[in-house]
Amino acid sequence: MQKPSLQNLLLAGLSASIALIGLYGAWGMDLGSLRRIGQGAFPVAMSVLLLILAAAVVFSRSDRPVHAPPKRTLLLVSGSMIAFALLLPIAGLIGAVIAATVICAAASSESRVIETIALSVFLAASFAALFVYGLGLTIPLGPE
Amino acid sequence: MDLFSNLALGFSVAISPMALLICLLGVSLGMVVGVLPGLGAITAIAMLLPVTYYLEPTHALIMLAGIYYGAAFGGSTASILLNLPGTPSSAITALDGYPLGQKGKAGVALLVAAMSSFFGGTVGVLLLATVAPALVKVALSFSSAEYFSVMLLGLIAAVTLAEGSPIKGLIAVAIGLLFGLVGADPQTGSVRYGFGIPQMFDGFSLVAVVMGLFGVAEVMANVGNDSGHRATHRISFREMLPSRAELRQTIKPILRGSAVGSAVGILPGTGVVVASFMAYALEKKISKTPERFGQGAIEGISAPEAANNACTQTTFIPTLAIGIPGDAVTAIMLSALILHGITPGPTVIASQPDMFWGLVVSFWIGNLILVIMNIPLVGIWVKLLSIPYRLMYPSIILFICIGVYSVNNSVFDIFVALGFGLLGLFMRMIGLSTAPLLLGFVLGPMMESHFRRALTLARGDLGVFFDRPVSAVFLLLCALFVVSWIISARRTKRKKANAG
Repeated sequence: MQKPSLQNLLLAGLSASIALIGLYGAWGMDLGSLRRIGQGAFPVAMSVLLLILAAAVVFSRSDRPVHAPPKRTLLLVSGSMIAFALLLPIAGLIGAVIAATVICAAASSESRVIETIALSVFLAASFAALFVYGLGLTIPLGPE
Repeated sequence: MDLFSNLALGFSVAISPMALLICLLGVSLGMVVGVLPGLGAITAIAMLLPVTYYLEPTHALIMLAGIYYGAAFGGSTASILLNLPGTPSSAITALDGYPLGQKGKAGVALLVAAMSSFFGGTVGVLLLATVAPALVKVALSFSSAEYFSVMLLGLIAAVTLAEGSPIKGLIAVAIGLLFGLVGADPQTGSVRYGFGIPQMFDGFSLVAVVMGLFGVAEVMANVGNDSGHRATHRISFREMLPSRAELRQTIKPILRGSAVGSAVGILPGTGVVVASFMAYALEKKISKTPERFGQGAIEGISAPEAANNACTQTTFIPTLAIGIPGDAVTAIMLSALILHGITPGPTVIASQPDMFWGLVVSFWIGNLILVIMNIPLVGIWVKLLSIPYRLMYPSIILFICIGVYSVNNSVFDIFVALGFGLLGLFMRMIGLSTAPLLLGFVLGPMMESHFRRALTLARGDLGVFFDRPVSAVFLLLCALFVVSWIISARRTKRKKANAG
């Protein structure tokens, strides 16, 4: 038997962990009977199926090597979305957009300072125009 | 004839100035996202879904659908000129389109692509106008058993035709099904997988899931990979005209491509990528000179382009006639309908005739706009590609954030989008496609409800799925697909054994 590839091991790991969370969450749910299927039947069935597939995929053929994006991209793009989510209720739309744009742009080594600031102001203005004035969304523009 | 009065109704809806404007806006946006790599139709539609709440339902669908088939159209331009497929389905067009461009025949390739797309789209629209109303008559007799079976067929078809092995497709579907179960159980009302977080009690928002899986993941995978591309090539109208021999070469592939695309589109669960891939493979198989493919064979453009546009139109057949999304994109459109208070299903065409026929006609008008617009505006589409990615990706991420937030005014949804973005990125790394996951996410809860209801009505008798003839046929088709997995798995194993 051939050695399982890293790709397949990761795949099996992902499926198995989601399956285990599925089983854990379905713990204590009513399975019911064929006449009256309970809320737990589908979750349990899907988790078990996923667990079987996880075992089956380990030795299947794998085609591509794994390419992870640079850590900087992951951290800064995630960071910008988190910053937006956290800042929106505190600083309002304009502050959140500007901060998130700057963090997001920092993920690419090609970004330039002046250009990024201009972009952030442009985005803040156009989102305010489109969503707040255009569509009438109730998002505060600045801090309360 | 009835069809004509219906089409007349459709025209009256579709050529109102507002509808025309919305249609134009939709297809232009579609062209733009189709041309730009890293921003597919599905992300664009999810991004604009919140905006369409403010339109009336018919206009909302006209615009969203316009983005969908506009992107199928636009994707070919960047493929042919720059070998940069803007959408996955146009990657196939790049195989022969780019070599043709290298030979100085970019103009011919573009025109043939546009003509093929238009022809395929027209075939698709005609089928939509004739098959959907007929299918409704069948669908009205559907009980829960049939609904369950046809959705199962959709999922199995998606798994079979997705790239990679069926096991991987199944994993993606099963993960999607589990995520779909989060939230209140529709039958008992009790919350599943809430983990004590109140925002999870309603389940994950579809928009957040889509934006994460497709938008965020795509950006994360691309940042740092490419800068702007510049094409200096100018194309005159003269060089676009294909020679008579080339024209003759393309007619049959267009017809075959339209047929393949339509068939794939009608099947729920399968999408444009599959359609163009199958059409290309078919042309290559029946060609007398298969070695020309990949070197700039004109059939290699016309067949897949006709197929993917026929497919985008016929995908609306199951979507509008039965209420089952034909693919991930139409799943989002169905949610737009629901948000406007229209329950998707076989009664939609009868109860909202102006909407259905208006859509049908506007699809065709949209295709016409695209073919007229595509050629003279090639220069603009190419210029778009020179916008540096460093300016584009922060805009995409920010639009996703605010778009996701605006649906429910929920900060939590932004975190959901981020979570699914990271999941989508990880899936990409390990070679798992995300489209089956989304389909599982959408169809899963519906399937579960119908399964439970069917069994309750049949007093727990599993035979109900086989006793009803339509349901039995769907299940038989499912079984055929599964048999095909086993056969192809055996074949590759034998090939390996022979080689080793």
